[in-house]
Amino acid sequence: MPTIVSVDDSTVPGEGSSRLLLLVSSDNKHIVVEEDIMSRSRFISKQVEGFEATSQRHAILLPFSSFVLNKVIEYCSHYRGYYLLEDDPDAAPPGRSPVREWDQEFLDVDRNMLLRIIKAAHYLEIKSLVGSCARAIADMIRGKTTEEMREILGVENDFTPEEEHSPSSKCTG
Amino acid sequence: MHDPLQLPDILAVIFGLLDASSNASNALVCKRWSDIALDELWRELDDLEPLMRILAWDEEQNDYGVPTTAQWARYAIYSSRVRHLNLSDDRTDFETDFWGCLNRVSIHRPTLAMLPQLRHYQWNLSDRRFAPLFFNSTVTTFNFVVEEVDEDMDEYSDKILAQIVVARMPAIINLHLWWPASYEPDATLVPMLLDGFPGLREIHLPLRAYTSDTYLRLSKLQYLRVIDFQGSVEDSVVDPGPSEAGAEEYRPLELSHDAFPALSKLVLYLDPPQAATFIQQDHFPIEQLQSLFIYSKHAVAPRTLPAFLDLLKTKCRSLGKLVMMLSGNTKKTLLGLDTEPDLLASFTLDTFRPILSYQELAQLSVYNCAQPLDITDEEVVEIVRSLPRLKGLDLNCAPLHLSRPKLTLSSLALLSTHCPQLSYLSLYADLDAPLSPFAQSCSASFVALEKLCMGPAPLKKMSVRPAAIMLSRILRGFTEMFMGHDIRSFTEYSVSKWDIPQDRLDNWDEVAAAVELMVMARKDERRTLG
Repeated sequence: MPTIVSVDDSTVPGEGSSRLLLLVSSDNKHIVVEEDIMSRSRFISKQVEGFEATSQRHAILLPFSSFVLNKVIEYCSHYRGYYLLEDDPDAAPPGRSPVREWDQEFLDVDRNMLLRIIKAAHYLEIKSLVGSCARAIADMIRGKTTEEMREILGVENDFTPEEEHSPSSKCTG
Repeated sequence: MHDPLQLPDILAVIFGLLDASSNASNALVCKRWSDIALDELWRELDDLEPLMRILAWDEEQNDYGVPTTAQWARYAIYSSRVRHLNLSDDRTDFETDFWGCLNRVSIHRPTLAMLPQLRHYQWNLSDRRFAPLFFNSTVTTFNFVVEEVDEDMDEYSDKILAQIVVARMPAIINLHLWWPASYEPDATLVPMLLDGFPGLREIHLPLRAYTSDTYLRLSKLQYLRVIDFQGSVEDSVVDPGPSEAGAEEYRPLELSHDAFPALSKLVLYLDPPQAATFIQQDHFPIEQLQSLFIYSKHAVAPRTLPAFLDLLKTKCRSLGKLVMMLSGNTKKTLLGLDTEPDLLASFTLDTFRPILSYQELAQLSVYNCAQPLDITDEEVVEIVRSLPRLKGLDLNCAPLHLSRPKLTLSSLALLSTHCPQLSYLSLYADLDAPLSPFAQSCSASFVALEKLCMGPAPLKKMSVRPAAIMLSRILRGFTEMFMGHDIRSFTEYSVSKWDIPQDRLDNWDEVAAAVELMVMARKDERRTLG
């Protein structure tokens, strides 16, 4: 199955012909972006469908900072006009298709940023980006002990001592 | 606390990419992680022993081997997470008294639903006695190997098996059955199952089971989308077994006006002329077919194929996938028993020409032709360029006679330049032929190619280097390569039966290893150059 396939030219409107969207980040930055670019996001596409039904276009408020939003826009711009199999609603769970080199470089960021990007991608329903981030996080924790994992990702241990020593938490197959 | 790592959806994606030992550690990190990691760990089981270990006889606790309430409580934590149970190995190295435990559990279990959330159930063990232990009303996909019944072991007969399957798993919509060529199951088995599941969406049977009677029963299933075959190609063709000799000849069916109302994928175990009769019969919904697999019983003479392909061109307008297995009984071909000049002729572009008008075709596969296809580099490009939706192309990458093909490695340079959309490509090309000037200077790489399969084609020691350099230029890091020895795991039919010269395989291994290194080096180079 294809990972990336350039969409037939006739179906991609020329640059600048797409309508514009106004996105507002949590730090109240207004970012104007072409609708085309953001069509990879199921969340944005659904919003746009809503606009079409009511013939009214609003700003779309997003619960993350402009720093993260710009990063997501950079991703969507890079793959503008490309078909990514994982974004297909019927595709297998994200993160299973071959690694794209560009994504690896794009996600060569610190841990906090990576977590913020995956959260934004999840909110915006961009499966391919969730998959690439998940793979980067999985690479980070693969083969680590429980203690190392808590430390790397800053997760708190909320087991009581009894739970931690109960046989059910130990029996993991 | 970074909250994305508390969102179950995100955790499930991440844990889904990790192996069991990482997830075992994840299960101990915190409560939220534990729940999702355990779901991931227990979702698919391909071994029952971890579950049976929980219920194993603890001789200190009781004398009878009856699992205790505490054991059942622990069992419930894990059993409710199991969605897929795939048992395909007849293991004998169990740490616990596995079969004894199954026996005690089958007598003493407190509930009929041993795996209450089971969706996919595959039981391919030779002892069928305990298979019904995990039958459950939630199962939608059932995969079973039917083997000879051992009456001394009190095994269920085929008929009783069919009754229990229908009664205990009414939600089955996807049925896979397989039996070896040496076994003839009870004549009631398939009819009982087909009549028992009127809501069936997919059926997978051994090719031998697709008789006129079976097709007639299938034609009445209202929701049936897929008729496919089960088992490897080799099972059915290389050694067809005794049932082959007496196999019935095809007779036209009397289909009712609403036959196969939902069918989109069909396998026909018929020669092309019979297949043509089948899909042209009254009330057969030929125009709704999207995928067709023609599995020829006998070797096909190239001159007989265009008429069949012409029929598909005019009638199957939505055909997206066409797979043709054209050699019939490969053993016969390999032994050189097909001696008619017609059968020894090669398939040419003219044989396949009607296909060039299939506008919806996304996959074209031609397997098992005796001779390499008689097609040039330019003709392959013509095929791909004529098919705007084509993503996968398999042109007889492993012919039965390993002679030198017309096709050369230069064809890949042409394809990477003109047809970059391909995601899967499988060819049998001569690697000893000199590269064309175009191929030597070609720098276009396949942007979407996930798999490249090169058959065991002629490759001399002196051609290893230029071939590897050329391949490394047109491939990216994400392309999986199957060449040389690897082709054995790739093609379902056994290459080991062929007489492939060992030095040729060694040369192929060298190419595969060199290409992998060079592709990585080129990737680093691109990164450095920015």
